[in-house]
Amino acid sequence: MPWTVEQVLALAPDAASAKAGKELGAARRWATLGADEVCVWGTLQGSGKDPYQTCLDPSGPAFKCTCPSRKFPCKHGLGLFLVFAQQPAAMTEKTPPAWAAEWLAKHSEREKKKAAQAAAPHEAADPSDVARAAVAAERRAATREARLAAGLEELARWLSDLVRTGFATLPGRPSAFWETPSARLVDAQAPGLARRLRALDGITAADDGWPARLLREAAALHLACTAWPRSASLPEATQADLHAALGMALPQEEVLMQPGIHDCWLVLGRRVVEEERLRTQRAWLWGRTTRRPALCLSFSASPGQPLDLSLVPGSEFEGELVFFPGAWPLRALVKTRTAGTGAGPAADPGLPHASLAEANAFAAAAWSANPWLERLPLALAAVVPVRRVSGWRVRDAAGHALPLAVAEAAGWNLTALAGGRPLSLAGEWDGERLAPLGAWTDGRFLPL
Amino acid sequence: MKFPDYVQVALLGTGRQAPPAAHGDGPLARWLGRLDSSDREAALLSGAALAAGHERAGRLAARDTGPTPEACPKETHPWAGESAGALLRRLLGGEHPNLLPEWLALAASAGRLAPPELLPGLLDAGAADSGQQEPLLPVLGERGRWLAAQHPAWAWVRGAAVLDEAVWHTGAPEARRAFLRRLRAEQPARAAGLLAATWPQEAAEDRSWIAAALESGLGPDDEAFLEAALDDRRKEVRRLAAGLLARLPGSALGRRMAERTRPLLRLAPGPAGARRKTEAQGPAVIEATLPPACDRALLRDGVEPKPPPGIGEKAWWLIQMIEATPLGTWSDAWVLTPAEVLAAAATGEWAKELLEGWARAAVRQGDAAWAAELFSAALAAPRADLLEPLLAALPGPEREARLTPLLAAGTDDARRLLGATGPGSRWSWSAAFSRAVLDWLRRETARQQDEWSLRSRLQGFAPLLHPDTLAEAAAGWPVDAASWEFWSRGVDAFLAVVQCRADLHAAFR
Repeated sequence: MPWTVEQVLALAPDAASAKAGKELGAARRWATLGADEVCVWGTLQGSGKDPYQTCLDPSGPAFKCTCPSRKFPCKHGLGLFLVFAQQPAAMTEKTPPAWAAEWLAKHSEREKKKAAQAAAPHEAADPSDVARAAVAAERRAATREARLAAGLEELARWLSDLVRTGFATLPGRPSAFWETPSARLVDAQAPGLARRLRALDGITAADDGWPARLLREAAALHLACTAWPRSASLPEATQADLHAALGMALPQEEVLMQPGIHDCWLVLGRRVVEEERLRTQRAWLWGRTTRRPALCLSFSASPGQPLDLSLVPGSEFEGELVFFPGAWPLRALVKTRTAGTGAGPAADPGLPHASLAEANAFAAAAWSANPWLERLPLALAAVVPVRRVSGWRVRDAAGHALPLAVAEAAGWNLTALAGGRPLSLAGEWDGERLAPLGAWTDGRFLPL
Repeated sequence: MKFPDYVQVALLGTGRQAPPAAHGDGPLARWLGRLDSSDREAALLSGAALAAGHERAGRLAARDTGPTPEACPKETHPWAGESAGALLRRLLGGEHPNLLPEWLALAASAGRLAPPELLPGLLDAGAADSGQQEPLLPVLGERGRWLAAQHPAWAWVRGAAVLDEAVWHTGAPEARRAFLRRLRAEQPARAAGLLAATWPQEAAEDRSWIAAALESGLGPDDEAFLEAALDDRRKEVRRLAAGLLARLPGSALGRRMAERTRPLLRLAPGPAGARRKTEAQGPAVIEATLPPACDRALLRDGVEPKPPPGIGEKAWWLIQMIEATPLGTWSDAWVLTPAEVLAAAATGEWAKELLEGWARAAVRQGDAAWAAELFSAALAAPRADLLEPLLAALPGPEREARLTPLLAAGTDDARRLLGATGPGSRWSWSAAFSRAVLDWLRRETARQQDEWSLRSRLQGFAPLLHPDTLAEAAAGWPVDAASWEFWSRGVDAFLAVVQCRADLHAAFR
């Protein structure tokens, strides 16, 4: 399936790169252009002496360019991709030049190695090394736990002060009010709680629902503080959820060693959020046969570090996912992909939640299993957007409705898309409002 | 002890109020009862965690009792394809927005509709610029009309899409405007009748746009109404009416103005004493007498008494009187062609004012024959400030015929005029003229080093090129010239628009 301009531009690390990439997305800017079944390549004169050599593999997608830019993909990679997407006829060369063939060979070898690593268990090491490493690790863990326990005690006191004084005094507090305790949590190595606490800065400026929202978050943080000292007595799955909430993620290699779950995975949508300098991408998947959702996170701490571009909203692929442990496992890693890497949207997504009552029951299971869960995906098979005094909503055939988290203009776009008939809609549900991720209608998919 | 009770306490602070106590014997109450209540703060937070989880997990979907819109009727035309839709999204997103009219025209002639998710953006564009409304209508489809009916800002669609007189009597101002514009374009007499009938009840602020709507399809039937509007209370309406009457052939205002102005201009014998051009005693000269006063009658017919800076007030009155006098008056009176009139007026004391008055008259009265001669006269005078409006008053082929030699000569006028008639004008170039412009641009970019204004306007020329010349526009630029460093970015921006247009045409092929 061909890539669209929007899909290509969505790969850009920032707006400036997207703009620069668009400027290079015209065949005339390139000295040579070519493509075969697996690879796209091109050269163009940049500011350097030698022309830049750019190539890419649209199935990944993966990029390579000889320019010195630290951004990834660079503007040349994006530009080349745009030319390929918009003017396939301009790709006149049919055999890859040596440099492109070389990169492609290296690239596919790397991919194979990665897959092999994921599949194979670690090799056995020298027993004495293992023992020494274990002692050192234990000592590190002890220091870490002491620091974490102290940090959580401090957070518990801070939360106590917060509710003793009352929320009514909060409006007008400077950012430092939230940032200071958040920074302490980072020091205590509880980045998950630190992030949630920092996100509360500015909450009082939102609509009238803020005190309830704040209390929910404060209660979730408090719950983590009280659960930690007695975590050994908790069920294993709940311990895992607590660790995840604190931000003590399992190493990915360890997770990937677990057996995967095979299914046809539909990419419901993708959302990128920026906090401080960290960009986090949430890609939401739905397993067709296993009828379960999955969340694939990808992080980027600098413009040069790419987010995972391989999960294209609206597309689906056959493959194995490994879930992080938990009472209601949601976060997952892609272990293998066996088929379907293109960008093609499924004409009929066959979304699972036939009614809002069903969607609520699905969510209820998640909320009751994991008290720290922030959001989960809903995949509504047939809803109509409607406009009410309180804002936009979606309504199902039974006359139930959920509020949408959309701006006025986006609500109209959704209404236009539906034309008064039910459409399929995927979104992030936080228990209060649904933030649309993508819609299927009239055989088309649209990321929102 | 529902969650909101906990929020209430949290707002006030546990320093002032104790957390809600557990009561009853539901499952939630039983769990709450097991909490340690000795520490108020911890009890509140723990209780809130339980109650919040209980509320969140136990939530049922709310019932929605509001009305749902009727489903939109099925489309009779197909939507534009994937690539055409992607291009429209880019245009609406602010990339080359001046190509929107071209997208609309191509879609309309291909019988394609705009993709539904882009309709709100298009309807907004129509609401922001009434000039865009008519070209938008063919691509809106059933979905667009269905959508527009739900949003007050998009009411213009109803006015423009269906000729229903009820819109005129009871519709929203936006819809009334669109309705009148469309009715006037299709049935000018019916529009005039409707307008005259409701005129007395119209609010003062609506009267000026209503009167302005008569500009399209202006005809003798409108004279009585406009003549009456000369006595309107609003100055804006009076001005509009006078302006429209002056361009209406055979209007009473034109006749009155001719009667006033005719005696002020005199064809005097040439230096050798000739009285008629047929007698070969040297060329005749047109002399002018300035009007003595600006009386009430003159004011009523639209003459503005206060001159702009740099012009004497009597000269200013004369210019405006000539402007409102039918141009035919002069050729008839002296039995001269426009060219001969201009030649005779070129040397007199008031030559400058006469030229300006006639130039204004040619523009206002849309007289192409006079405009063509005046353009030559203004070039020779030279009166650069008059060239632009005169050029705009010429039909396309005439305009290109006048500009081509200027481009070939590479004059400053060519540069200025091309820029002035570029962005925003509805003039699109013939293939031959497009090639002439491209050649001229290639020469200018090779020759000039610091032509800032041309560089900044370069991009504006791209939408005017004839579609047949888009493919050849990228070639032949002086990339090796010393001046290229100055030009390359500007030419790139120009070619980016050209490329976008080529994509557009390809997307609808």
